[in-house]
Amino acid sequence: MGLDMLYPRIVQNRFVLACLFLILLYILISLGGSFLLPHHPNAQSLAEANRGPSFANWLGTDYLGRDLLARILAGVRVSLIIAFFATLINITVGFLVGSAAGLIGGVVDRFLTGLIDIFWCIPPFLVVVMLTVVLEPGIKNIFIALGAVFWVPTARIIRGEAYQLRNAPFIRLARLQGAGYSRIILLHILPCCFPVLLTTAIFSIPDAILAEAFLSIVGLGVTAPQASLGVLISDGLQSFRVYPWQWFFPVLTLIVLVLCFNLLGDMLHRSFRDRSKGILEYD
Amino acid sequence: MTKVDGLSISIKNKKGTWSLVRDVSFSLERGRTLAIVGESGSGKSLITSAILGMLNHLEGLEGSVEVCGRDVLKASSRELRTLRRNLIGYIPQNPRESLTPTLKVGSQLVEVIAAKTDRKGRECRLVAESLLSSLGFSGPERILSMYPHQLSGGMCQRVAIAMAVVSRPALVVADEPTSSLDPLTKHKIMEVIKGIQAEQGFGLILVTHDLDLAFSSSDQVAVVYGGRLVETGAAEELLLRPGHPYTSDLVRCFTRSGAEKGGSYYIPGEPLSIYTSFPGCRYFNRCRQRLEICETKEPACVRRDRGRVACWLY
Amino acid sequence: MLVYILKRAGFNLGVMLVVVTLTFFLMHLLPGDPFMSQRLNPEIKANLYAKHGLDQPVARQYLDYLSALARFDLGESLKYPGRTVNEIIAESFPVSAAVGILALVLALVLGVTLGVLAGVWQSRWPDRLILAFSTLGLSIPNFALGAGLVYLFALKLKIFPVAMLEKPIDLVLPVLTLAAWPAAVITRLIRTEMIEVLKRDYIIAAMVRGLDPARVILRHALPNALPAVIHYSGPLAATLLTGSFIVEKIFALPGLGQYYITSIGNRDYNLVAGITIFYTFVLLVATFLTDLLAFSMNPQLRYRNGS
Repeated sequence: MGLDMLYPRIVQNRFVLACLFLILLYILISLGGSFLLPHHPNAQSLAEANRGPSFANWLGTDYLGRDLLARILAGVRVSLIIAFFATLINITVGFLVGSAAGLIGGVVDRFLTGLIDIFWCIPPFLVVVMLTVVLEPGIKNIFIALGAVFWVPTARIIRGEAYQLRNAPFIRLARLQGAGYSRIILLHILPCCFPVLLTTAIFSIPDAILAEAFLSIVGLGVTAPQASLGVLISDGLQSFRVYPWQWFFPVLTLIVLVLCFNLLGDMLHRSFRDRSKGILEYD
Repeated sequence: MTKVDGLSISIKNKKGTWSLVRDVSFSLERGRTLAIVGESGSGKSLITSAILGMLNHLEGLEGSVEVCGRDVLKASSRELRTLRRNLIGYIPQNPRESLTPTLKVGSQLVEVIAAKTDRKGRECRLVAESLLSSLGFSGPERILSMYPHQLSGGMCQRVAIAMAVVSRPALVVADEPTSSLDPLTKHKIMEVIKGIQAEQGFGLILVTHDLDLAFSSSDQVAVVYGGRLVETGAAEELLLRPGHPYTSDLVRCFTRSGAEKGGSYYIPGEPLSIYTSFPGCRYFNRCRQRLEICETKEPACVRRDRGRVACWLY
Repeated sequence: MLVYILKRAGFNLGVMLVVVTLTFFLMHLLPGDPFMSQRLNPEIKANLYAKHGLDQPVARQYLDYLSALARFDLGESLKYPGRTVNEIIAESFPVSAAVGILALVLALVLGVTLGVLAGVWQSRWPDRLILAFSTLGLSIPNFALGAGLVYLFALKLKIFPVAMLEKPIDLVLPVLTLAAWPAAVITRLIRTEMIEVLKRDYIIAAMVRGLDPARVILRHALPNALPAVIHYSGPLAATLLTGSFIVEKIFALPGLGQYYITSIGNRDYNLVAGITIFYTFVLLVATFLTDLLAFSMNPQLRYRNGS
């Protein structure tokens, strides 16, 4: 169940390798990139507002004369932080709720499944919007609000897996030997669910990035002067008819980022699925 | 008249070329029955698929399969469809899964009848009803208005038989027609097939791993091992005087377990995997009469009595 | 069958109650109140509070709200005096629904067609092309696509008008924007299902019986590949019908989504709660209907639980 099976696939598939490389590049640049640039992302200069791409400002400036490239780099960092923590909440809560429901069964299962079913029927964007409003927009509250809805499908999948594992011989043996639920969950169910969790996590990151952008556009993004990709796009949408680059560059950055994660997730999904098939390949 | 000549199937992948079926030849007259017997993985299903034209897209397909003088393997997809409509009937392995679950039995049967004969709507319905009652259904209208999951396996199989024989084909290929049915139904289904055969006179290829069925309901038997026909011959002859060591082992398994109570007989060892390339006879590792040459060279197929056998003993 | 419907109705009622309760208390947790932006003197403010029952204890307000809800009365907007929430929904929902239904139909037609083509030609060039398109469709969010379409077709090529809603042709761009993502999802769903179904015994048997391949695909394979899409299209229909905030914003459509966002900013408790409840209601109804549809398409389910 380890990553060793994935390694040859990743290296063989140049497309996926490129995605992985781009993602790493994004992370590195968003961590250190803004220090290399002469412009501070929040430095305003009204005299230079709404300039197009030039030698001084490679991607142009926004309506307050701030350098767009510097702001995009800072924005990627904020978006990635939100996506990372939202995914962390998603995976942790989803796994714990799902495995507890599937493994323990009985009343616990019925209660947790009921909870999942109810949440399943509530439009997720309503919960996110309400929570963000109540908690007040900010990096921390946005990823909490996103995590609060993302865990539901994860928990559902994990419950199914855990439920099937429940009667597996090695789990029965562990229980006969007196292992507690927490031990079984961590030692047996977690490794077995690893492929599912990894794939879910990879797909959850682009979802979170898009959800953050959505929140920014409806006016619930991170507070100024902080910038996320969503805030930049939202600002760009106000003026894209006149200054299209203010909209185009942040959107392009976001699409490439999301595309990379989606392709990576696809590859993971496919290779985990293929591995459970037989050895005989006719093509 | 059906003639299979030098049929070989191999597949190529990144790791190399694998030969799955080698040099299979036999012929079958109208009205006669040929049983192809072998263990699972011996290649008998591949032979069936090739005869039905399901492997025509494969590159590693050699030889010819002639039904009424027309080569199935070289047929274009349009010609293949005509062949399947007019000359070749197919009785599948899992009767219930061979009918589409979302369509009523009647609509599926009528669709096949319309495709195989030139009849139209209402007429097809009548043909379907008379066909079903001739296959032993008492209330055909009721059956026609049901979904496959509402019928038993044996009923589904009779519907599938009706689909196979509606155009009075020259050849019917039955791929393990009884393996998923219980023993009582099994005999009834075989009776139905034999009855229709007696009436229409088609050649029947019966693929099975059930020796009882093979010897009791066929004229000729072809034994497949490791992708080759190791022996063909008349059923009673093979039963009384098997030539190939594998055939004699099989017959011994069959008669011992059936007749005597003194414990059953089994063949030791496992068949060679298709991924093992081996220059000699593929039965070498399990054979009790092996010679030195068996390990280094594959035997050719030679005449023996009225059949053929591929073994260095002859 | 009847038992199933009753059970589902009961469960849905429970979900509605949870949503109503959550919305109600979350809205009262919000900092600020609906009248803080207007500088009103305390007396008028107290009058306004009394008029909307905001001076009552929260538990009392909650019960009042529930009893009004039982009569399908969502109350009066706090920000638009004299207008009831029911009126606002009745006025703006048709705009969202019109765009939504068109987008739903487009997404289904496009998705099913492309998905079937890709599934039939698995791993060959039509499949690769369609897959590439759908991956792109999944990764381009509607705020990018919508603004891009406006920029290209309305501002540069001047084929379509910029954000107006007068003639039917004005709906083209919003509908395209809204349909792209679900079309991509449906394409992938159908493709995966078709690949699975085409391996089944009944498809192979139908081909060996000499039926036309096109017939086998449309009559035997497609109906068995559809349930996945039907299940998906319930929530999808709800999302599309209730409109997309973003598409409504970009194309300046006077739909429900616009009201939702402004009402949250305005702390218009009644309007927020009303629209939230309405959204959930539409989702539950749509899911229920599609489940029934999937149920009736599967003869095995229908006959086991049914007559």
